[in-house]
Amino acid sequence: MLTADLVAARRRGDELRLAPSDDARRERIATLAAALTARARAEIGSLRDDVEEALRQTATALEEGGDRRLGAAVGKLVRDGLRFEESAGETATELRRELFTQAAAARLAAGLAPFDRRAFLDGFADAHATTPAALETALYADRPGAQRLLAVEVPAPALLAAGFEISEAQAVLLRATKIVAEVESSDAALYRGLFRTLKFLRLLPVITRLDETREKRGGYRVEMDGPLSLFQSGGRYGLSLALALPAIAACDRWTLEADVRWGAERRPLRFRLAGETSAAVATPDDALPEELATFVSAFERAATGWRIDRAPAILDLPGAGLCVPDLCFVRTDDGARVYFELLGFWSREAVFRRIDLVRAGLPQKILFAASKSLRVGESLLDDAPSAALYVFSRVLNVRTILDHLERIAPTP
Amino acid sequence: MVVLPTGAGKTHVACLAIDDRRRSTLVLAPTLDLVRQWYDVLRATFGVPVGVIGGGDYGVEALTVSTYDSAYLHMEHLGDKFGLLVFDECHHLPGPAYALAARAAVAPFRLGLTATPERADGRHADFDELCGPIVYRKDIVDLSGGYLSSYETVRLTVELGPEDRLAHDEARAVYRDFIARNGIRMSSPSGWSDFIIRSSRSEDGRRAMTAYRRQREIAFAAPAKLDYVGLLLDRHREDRVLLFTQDNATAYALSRRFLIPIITHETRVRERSEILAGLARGPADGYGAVVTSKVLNEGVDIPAANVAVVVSGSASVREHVQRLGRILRAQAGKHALLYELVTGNTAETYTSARRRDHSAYR
Repeated sequence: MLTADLVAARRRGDELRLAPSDDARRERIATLAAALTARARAEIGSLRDDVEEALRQTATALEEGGDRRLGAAVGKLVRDGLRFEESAGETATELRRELFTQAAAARLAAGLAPFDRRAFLDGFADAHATTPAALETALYADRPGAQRLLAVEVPAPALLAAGFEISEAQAVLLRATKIVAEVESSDAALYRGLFRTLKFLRLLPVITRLDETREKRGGYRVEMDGPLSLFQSGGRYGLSLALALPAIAACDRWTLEADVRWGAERRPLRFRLAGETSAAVATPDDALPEELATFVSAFERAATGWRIDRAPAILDLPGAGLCVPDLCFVRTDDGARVYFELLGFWSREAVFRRIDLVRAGLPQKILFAASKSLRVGESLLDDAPSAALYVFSRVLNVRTILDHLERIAPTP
Repeated sequence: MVVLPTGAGKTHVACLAIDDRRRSTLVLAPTLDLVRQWYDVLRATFGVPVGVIGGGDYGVEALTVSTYDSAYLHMEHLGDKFGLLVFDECHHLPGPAYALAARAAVAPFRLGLTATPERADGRHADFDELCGPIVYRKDIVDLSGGYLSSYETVRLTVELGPEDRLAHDEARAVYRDFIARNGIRMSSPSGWSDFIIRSSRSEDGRRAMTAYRRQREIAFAAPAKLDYVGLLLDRHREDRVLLFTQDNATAYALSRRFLIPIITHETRVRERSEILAGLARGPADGYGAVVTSKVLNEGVDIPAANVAVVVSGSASVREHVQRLGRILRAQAGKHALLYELVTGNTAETYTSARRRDHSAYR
């Protein structure tokens, strides 16, 4: 993914605009991508430090008299597609700890004689049934620069060039405080796919029908916090937000407006983008974020008298908004249903928006789960007969959720 | 603003100020390491909950510690909540974003703390507006032998071997020729950025940049210099030695050659803590020396260290004073030693002279 410093964007009044993307620019991007990808393929098996240097040299040669930032940006997208071997992590750390401690003791014990590195390494290697050369290699094997390139998984140059504007927009959104997208599609499944993708990415959108807020046409308005508006986890949230952009761009027609803070002085600017379908983005209908998948697995192992529907319906309260639950709990005895939405740990505001939805009359039974770090109290929904708020500290507890379900569900 | 050397009690001054004013207080520090140190001190001193903002935390209490970065991001929520602001390592404050954080806060009481207020960009003039004028100043020489340990600085000049000398002089000639032909004055404030811009515009310029880097590499990591590091490590085998380099490549080379732990920005927090704890224990059951590039320049408390070896560094007076500050925290019977290794007849001679332009080195 691109970073903000690699984006060719200019300020026009209060607006931030990307460099115009024409055929010549796309062709230049594709040429750069092809050359850098070819160079990377030639380096399979090399160390990361050497691969980086080779790509830097190639980019320098290609950029002669050209746009250096564009070269750096394409280089970044190509590097994102390189797969390196896993870090040797703990093994190397442990080796360093032992070897350096013993070396310090050996230097101390040498008295007035100089420290004999070779003799020390020979002895250490003997004691560990290895060779000094193997020790030298293993000592910093966990450094990123010492990892070998295993594979090059970069999109085809033409595809990379076609998606370049979206990549630049993703980088701009990392500096957003608020994002409003309006999407239109003739296929209801695309909406569902988009909403599920947003959920999978743990974003907390406020979704309203466009025809209820504006007379003109159908579709949805999706409002999300930007990474800079959050109290914590800005980096991870920003990444999720960036990954959501292709899902928005998969709709038939879409527009996006973001309030961004740009440049060293974080000047407030408005960023606009619009488009028509570029490429479909598939998120499996029942894909769940990791912490929710862990909970579902634990819940299904326990004897609860409830089963879980992983792809529940979207709840629509006309005039108030939509709720996209993550799960629906179904009581096996009588089929009573309680929806469930994980509000995670990113936005306190999102919790209050859900509470507003309940107070506006959401008819379905629903349980919300919010992290303790959001500093909200379960008492916020004490007076709601059909909804509850569960504040969890680290993981979702099966027993506590079961208690909430039995309280909210209608008595059989 | 209070100017005191590292180890002279800046944190204590801040605690006294907080106790004296009795206002809700926000302490700002440049790194998460320092935020953790402040958190511990404030908890222990005042015995009340202390809020932390930064590094994934967002907790606001009457006493709160934050990184400058996080405070800047959240100042619109925080600006009206505190009566006293404490700016640790306040020489960072005049940067454009951090200055905005100071301006966005309404706190009438402000305390800036630093050992090195002077900035190369001249923006120390902004201190008056952001946190007030200097009201108290003591430098290292004023406190050495009392509040700080006594110390000596030793400058050692090494010479390049014949092959390195030839390679160095050739590379330097390429670089000097380019700046002369392009009328670049490296001594002017814009000299370095002029060189960066012009060298990027032509093949000739890129050769000059490569040559510039090459002659620096040869001077910074001259074989004779590294040999000397070995002698110093043997000589100070019973001490706690910090080795400083200008770049990570030299730091790794030293770590490998002398089998001593290294701390860089790549070092994970847990390993870094273990290394510093090992240095505190000493060579008998921990470490006698640690090499680092720049990450230990500032702020981190290493009271046990008593010898510093500056293998290479920039021309920054602040960096050089901060590096000396690492070994000056007073301990019974401690006499600190700072060695500076300089390769003779290279640009490093001039770099060394510039960074020593401080009372602590006279």
